[in-house]
Amino acid sequence: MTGADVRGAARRSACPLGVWLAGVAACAALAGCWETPPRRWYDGGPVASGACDGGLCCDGGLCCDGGRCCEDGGCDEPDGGVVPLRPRERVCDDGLDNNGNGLIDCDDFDCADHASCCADGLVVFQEDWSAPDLTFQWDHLPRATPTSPPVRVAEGERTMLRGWPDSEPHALLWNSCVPLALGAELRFDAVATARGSVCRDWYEPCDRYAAVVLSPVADTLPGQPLLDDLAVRVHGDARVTTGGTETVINQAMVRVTQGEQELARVLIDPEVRYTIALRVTPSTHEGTASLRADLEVREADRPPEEVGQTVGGFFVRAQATLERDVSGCLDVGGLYAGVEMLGDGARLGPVRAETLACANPSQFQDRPNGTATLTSGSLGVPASYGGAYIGAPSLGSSFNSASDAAPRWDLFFEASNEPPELALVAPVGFAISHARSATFGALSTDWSTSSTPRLGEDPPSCLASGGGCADESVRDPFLLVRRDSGDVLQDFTLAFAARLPTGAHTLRIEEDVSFSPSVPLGGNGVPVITPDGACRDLRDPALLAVGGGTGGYWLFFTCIPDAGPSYLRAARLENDFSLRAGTVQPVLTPSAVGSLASGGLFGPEPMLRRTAAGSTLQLWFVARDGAGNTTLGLATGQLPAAAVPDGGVALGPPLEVLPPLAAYVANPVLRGNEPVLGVCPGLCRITGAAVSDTAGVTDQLRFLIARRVVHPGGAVTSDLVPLTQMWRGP
Amino acid sequence: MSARRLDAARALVASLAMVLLTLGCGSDGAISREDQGPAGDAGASDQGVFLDGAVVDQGVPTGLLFPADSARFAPFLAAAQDAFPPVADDRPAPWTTCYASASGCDSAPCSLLASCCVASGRCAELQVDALLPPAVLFSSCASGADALSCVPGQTFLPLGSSTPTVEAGGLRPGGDAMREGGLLVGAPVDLLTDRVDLSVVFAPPSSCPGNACLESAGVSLAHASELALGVVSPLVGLLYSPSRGDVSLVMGDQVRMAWALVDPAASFTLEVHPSGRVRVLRDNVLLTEAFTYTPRADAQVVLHGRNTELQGARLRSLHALRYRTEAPATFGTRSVIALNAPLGVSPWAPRGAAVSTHEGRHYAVVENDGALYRGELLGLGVDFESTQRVTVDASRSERALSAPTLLVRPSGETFLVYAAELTDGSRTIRARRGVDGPLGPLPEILELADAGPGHALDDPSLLEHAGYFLLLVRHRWPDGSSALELWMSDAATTPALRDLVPAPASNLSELTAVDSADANQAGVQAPSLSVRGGTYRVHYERRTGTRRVIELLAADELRAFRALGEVLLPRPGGQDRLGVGSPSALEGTAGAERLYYLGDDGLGERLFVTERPGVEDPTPL
Repeated sequence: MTGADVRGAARRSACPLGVWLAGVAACAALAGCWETPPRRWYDGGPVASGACDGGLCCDGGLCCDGGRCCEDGGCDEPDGGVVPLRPRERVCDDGLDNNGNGLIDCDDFDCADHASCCADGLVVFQEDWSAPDLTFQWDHLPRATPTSPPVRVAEGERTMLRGWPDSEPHALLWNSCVPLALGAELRFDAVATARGSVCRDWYEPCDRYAAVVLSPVADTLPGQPLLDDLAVRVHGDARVTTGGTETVINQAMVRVTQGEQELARVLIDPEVRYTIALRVTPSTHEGTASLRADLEVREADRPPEEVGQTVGGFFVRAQATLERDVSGCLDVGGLYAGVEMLGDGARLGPVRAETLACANPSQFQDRPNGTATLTSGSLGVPASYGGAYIGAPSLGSSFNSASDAAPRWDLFFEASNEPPELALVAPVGFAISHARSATFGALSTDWSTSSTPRLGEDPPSCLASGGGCADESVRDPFLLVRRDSGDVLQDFTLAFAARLPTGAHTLRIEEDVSFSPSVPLGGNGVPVITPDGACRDLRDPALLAVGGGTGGYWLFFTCIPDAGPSYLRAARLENDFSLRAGTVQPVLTPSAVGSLASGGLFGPEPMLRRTAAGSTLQLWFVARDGAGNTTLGLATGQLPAAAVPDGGVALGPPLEVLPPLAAYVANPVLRGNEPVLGVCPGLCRITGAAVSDTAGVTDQLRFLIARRVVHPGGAVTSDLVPLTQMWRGP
Repeated sequence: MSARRLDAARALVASLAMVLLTLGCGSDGAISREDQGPAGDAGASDQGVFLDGAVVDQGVPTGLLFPADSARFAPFLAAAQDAFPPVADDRPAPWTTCYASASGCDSAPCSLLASCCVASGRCAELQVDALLPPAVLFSSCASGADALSCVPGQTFLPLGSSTPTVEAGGLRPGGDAMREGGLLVGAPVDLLTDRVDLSVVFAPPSSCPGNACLESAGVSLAHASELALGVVSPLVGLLYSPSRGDVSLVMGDQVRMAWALVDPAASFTLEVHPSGRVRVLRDNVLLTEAFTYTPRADAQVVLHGRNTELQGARLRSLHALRYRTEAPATFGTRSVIALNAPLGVSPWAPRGAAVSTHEGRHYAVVENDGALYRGELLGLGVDFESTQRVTVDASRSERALSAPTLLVRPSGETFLVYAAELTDGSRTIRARRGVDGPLGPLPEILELADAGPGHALDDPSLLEHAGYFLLLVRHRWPDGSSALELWMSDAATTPALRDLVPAPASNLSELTAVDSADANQAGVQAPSLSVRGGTYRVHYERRTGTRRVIELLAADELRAFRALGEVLLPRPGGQDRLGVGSPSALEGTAGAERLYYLGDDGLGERLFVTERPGVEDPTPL
C-alpha cells in the first residue's frame, strides 16, 4: 500500500475507521507490521446474510430499501415483518396465492413439481432382488472388472442386498436410462446396519453405505463411486459401549449428496427398516427448466398416511443437459439409476422407479395413439387450392351427442396453391378450409375435408400464372366452439384475417358457421377491427369468451407495427362481436418474453382454466428470434376467485379484465427440431400452433403444431403435428 | 517506488497517524473531504478522478487504478473525469455502469474502454484475403453471359441447380415460383468472429405488370448447410421487390423494415456484427440499427432472387468487407493432452492442472496425492518426473498441497504457487521459489496471502504485469460463501514476492459470489488471470450441480470487470461432455488464444487444449 493510499484512506474514513487505519498505518510505518483488514475494507466481498452490497441482496435479488436483508432473503420491514424477495408459491394446495404473482397452487409453475399437481405415471422398473440372475436387467459396475454378484439375505419376506465382501464401491445400474424430465419417483427400503466395528473416521458418516444414485454416466472406474447427480446414501451405524454407557461413534443416517457433496442428512436408527422416497419433478432453476428432488424417509412399519422426515428442493440438473437419444430416454430426458454399495454399511430392499405426469409446459407427451402428422395429402386437400401449403391451424373438440364416447375434432386451416415464401416479394393468396375427424388418422379417409374452400377462392393465388385471381385472400382462421355442459357441440364461430387492397389485413368474424366441411361458410364475416396507426397490419385473430359477467369476448391478435417486431394485442368485443370502444390494448410484447422473441410474437392461442382458486389465462404464442428461428412459448396470468358469501365453492371469475401476463420463465416450451415433433428430414420451422381442450377429458390439451419443412433438394412442404399435454389442478 | 521514497512515505504516514490520533477525527465524526493536495488544485473537495497529491504515472494515479495498458487506457481516463464521480479505493470504479446494459459500451466515454472492444463488432481488424471478394462488378460481363464465370478473376458456385446469367450489366438470379436462383459468393464466413459489410446496387426489371410480379433480387447471409438444400432462408439480408418498389431488411421469412427504391443507382449496405447488431445504410446514410440477428459460424454470402422477365430484377454490383473481431467464445477443435505418470508414482490421478509459458515453451503443473509435479509440454503430452515433485513441508505446518500454478520471470526466477492446507485446517497461498528456470530446484518457501483464521484461500493464479504481482484466488469465508478475490503486491516490494495485500475494491466479488446456501450445489473457482489486448482477462470455472463451464471477465484496470458469459461449454459426446474447468489462457500465434482446461466425462478428468482465432487489440471502427 502506498503512502498515497493511506493518506486517502485516512482522509475519507469515518472517525472509528480512521483511528483504526491510523493505528494500522502507524504500525506499518514504524514496525513494518500489517494486519489483515476487515473484508469490506478492500472489496465488497460476498454479502453475508444481513447486508446489501452494491444493490444486490443476500440471495441475488433486488436490494431492499434501507439495505437490510433477512436470512430467508426477505427485506426487513420497519415493523419487523418480512417480505419475500424471491417469491415462491410455498404451499400448493391451500387455494392461496402465496407469492402474490397472480397464480394459485398448481397454476403457479412453482407448484408444477408438487405431489398434488402430479399424476401417477408408468413403472420403469420394480426389483425385489429375488431373481437368480440379476445381470439380466442390471449392469454390474465397474464394467471393466467383473466380479461376483452381491450378497443377498432374506429378512422376513424380503430379499435384501447386503453388498460385496470387499472395500470397494460396486454398483448395479438399471440397463436403460430412466426418463425423469416429466417427473419420477424412486422408492426403496433400506436398513442401516449396526456394525460391530467403528468406521474409518470417528464421528463422521460411516464410510460403509448403500445408495440409490441418479447419474449421467453408465459406468465407473475401479475403486471409484458412481458420479452422482443425486444420491441417497444410507450409512451404517457404529457404537461403543463401555461401562454400560453407549457412545455413538458413527450415527446411522440418510445423506443426500451431489458430486459427493452433502446436501442434507436425516438421522435414523440402526436395524430399523425405512422406506425412502426420492421424488424428482420438473422445475426451474435460475430461469432454466430443470429437475428438482425431494426426499421422504419414513419407518416402513408406520402407517402410509404418516409423513416421515422430509428434505428437499435440491437442484438436480438442467433439463437441457439430461441424457437423451439413449435407450429408455429417446423422447424424454433422464439419467441412469443404480444402487451402489460399499462394504456392509446398509442393506437395500425392494426398489421401484415410476414416472410421474406433472404439469409442465415444457413437456409434451408422445403423439396420441392413433394420431398422425397431417399433410395436405393426408387431409385430402385438393391441390388446386392447397397443394403448395397448409398452415395456421385452429382446433376444436366436441361430442356429436351426449351418447358419444369419443370426441370429434374440427380443424380449420389456411391453404394456398403457391408457396407462402413468395410473399416476401409479392402478394400470395390464401383460402380457408375445414376438416373433421375422430381419430387424427394418417389417411385421407380418416378426414372429411372441404373439397372447395369454405372461404376464399379456388385457386386463391395467381402470382406464377399471372392470371386473373380475385383479390379476396383470407387466412388465419380461428374456430370458437361452444359446447353445453356435457361437451356436446352447440355452435361454431369463425374469426379470420381478410386482405385489404393495401395488402394489410382486417379481422372479421362469421357467426353460426355450419358444422359441415362441405358447405361454404355462408358469409364473408363482419369486419371487427382494421389496421390503425399502431398496427399497419393485423393477423391471427383468436377469440376467448368472457364467461359470465357482462358477457362478450376478448379478441387476441397479432399487431405488425410500422417499425419493430410484431407483438400481441387484445380487444374487448360485445356479445354481438362488435368492438367495445377504447379497449384495444397490448397484452404481450417481445421485450417481456426475451431474446427468443426479438424478431416478434405472433399466433396467440388463449386458453382459460377455471378452478375454485380463480381463472388462469394461458396465452400460447409463436416467438421468432433475431435469426428467424421460431419456437412455441407460453405466458400466463390469473384472476383470483371472488369471495362467496355463503362459503360455497366459487367458479373462476369472468374475464371482465385481462390479468397481467407473465412469460413462463423457461420459455420456449417447444422448438422446431425437438424429437417429440418427429424426425425432421432437412430444416423444420414452426409456423403456427393450435391449442384446444379435449372434450370429455379434463386437464388434457391437444396441440397441433404447424411446420414448414425444407427437404434436401430444396422442396418445401407443410405439415401439422399433433401433441398432448397434461395440466392438473389440486 | 524506491526504498528512499518508501521510507519517506512511511515517515509521513506515521506523522499523519499521530496527528489523527492526537486531534481526533472532527467534531461530528463525518468523513473529511478537505482537499489536502498541492496548492492550485481543484479546491476544497476532490473534483476529479484523481486523489489530489497522488503519485501519477502517465496520468494514472498509482495505487488506485492498474491499467493493463496505460497508453490504451489514457484516452478513456481523460474523458472519464467529466462523466463519472471520483474513484475511491473502497468501492468499484464508477464506470462499471458502462457494463450495465448491452448498449452501455456504445457511447463515449465507455466506448473508449478496451474491454468494450471484446465481443463487439465495433472494434475489428480488416481482413484482406480470398474469403470474400472485395468487389464483384457484373457490368464487366456481356448480356447473356454465364454469371458464374464471366466476372474477370472470379468463379462462383450456383445456388442449387439454378443458372444465373448477366443481363444488361446486372446479375439475373434466374429463380422461379418454386425456388430461388442465384450464386454463392466467396467461402463461408464465421459470423461469430467476423463483422461483414455488404454493399449492393440493384437494377429494376423492365416491367412488373400490376405491381404483382414474381421478380426479386437480394443479397443475404444464410446458413451454408441450408443453402446446400437449395433454399435461401436469410439469417439477414437485403431484398429488392419490384412489386412493392422497395428494398427490405429480411430475417428468415420476415420483412423487418423496408425503404423505397427511388434512385436505382443507390447503394444499400448491410452491416452485421458478431454481437448480433444489424445496420442498414443507403449511400452511407444510416437507415436503421434497431434490429439484431443471431450470428452463426459457417454463413455464406449469396446473391439470389426470382425472375420472370429476361431483364428482371437484378444486382449490378456487390462490395464486401470482412473484419475480424475479438470473440472470446469461439474455440474450435479440442485435443487431449496426455499427463504421463512419473516412474514409481502410484496411484497417478493428476488434478488441478495449469499450463504456463516461458521463452516459447509450455509447462504443466499438476497435483497428485497432495504433492505437486512439473513437466514440459511437448506436443500433446507431458512427461512428469519424480525429481520435479514438490511435497509438503511439515515444518511449515503443511498437510497437503493443491491447485498449483507456475510463474517464470524472464530471468529464470520461478515461482510454483499453490494452496497449502495446513495442519490446523486452514488454507493459505504459498509459493516455492527458485532461480534456475521452470524445472529447476525450488528451495525457498514464500508466504503470499493469508486471509486469517477460518478463511480459506485457494485456486491461485499469479501474473506479473506493469510492475505488480497480481494474485487471483478464491476466498471462502467461514459461513461457506465464496468469491474470487484479487491480491497484489506493492510495486516497491519487487522482486521479492511475498505478503501480498488485497487489491482495492472492484465488482469482481459481486460477479463471482456464491452464497453459503448454494455452496454445495454451485461454485466459482479455478480462475486464470491473463493480459490480452489492453485488458485483463479472468477465465474461471462455474459449477452448477455436477456440470461445469468456463466463463470470462474482462477489465481495463482491475477496478471494473465486465462479465462476458460462457466461453467454453461441455461438448456432447466428447470426453469433456459433463464439465470443463481449470482454465489456463495463453497467447497463440497471429492473435489466436489458446485455452488449456480440464474436461470431465464422469469417469475421469483429462487435460485438453483448444484454440480460437482473434484480434488482440481490435481497432474501433
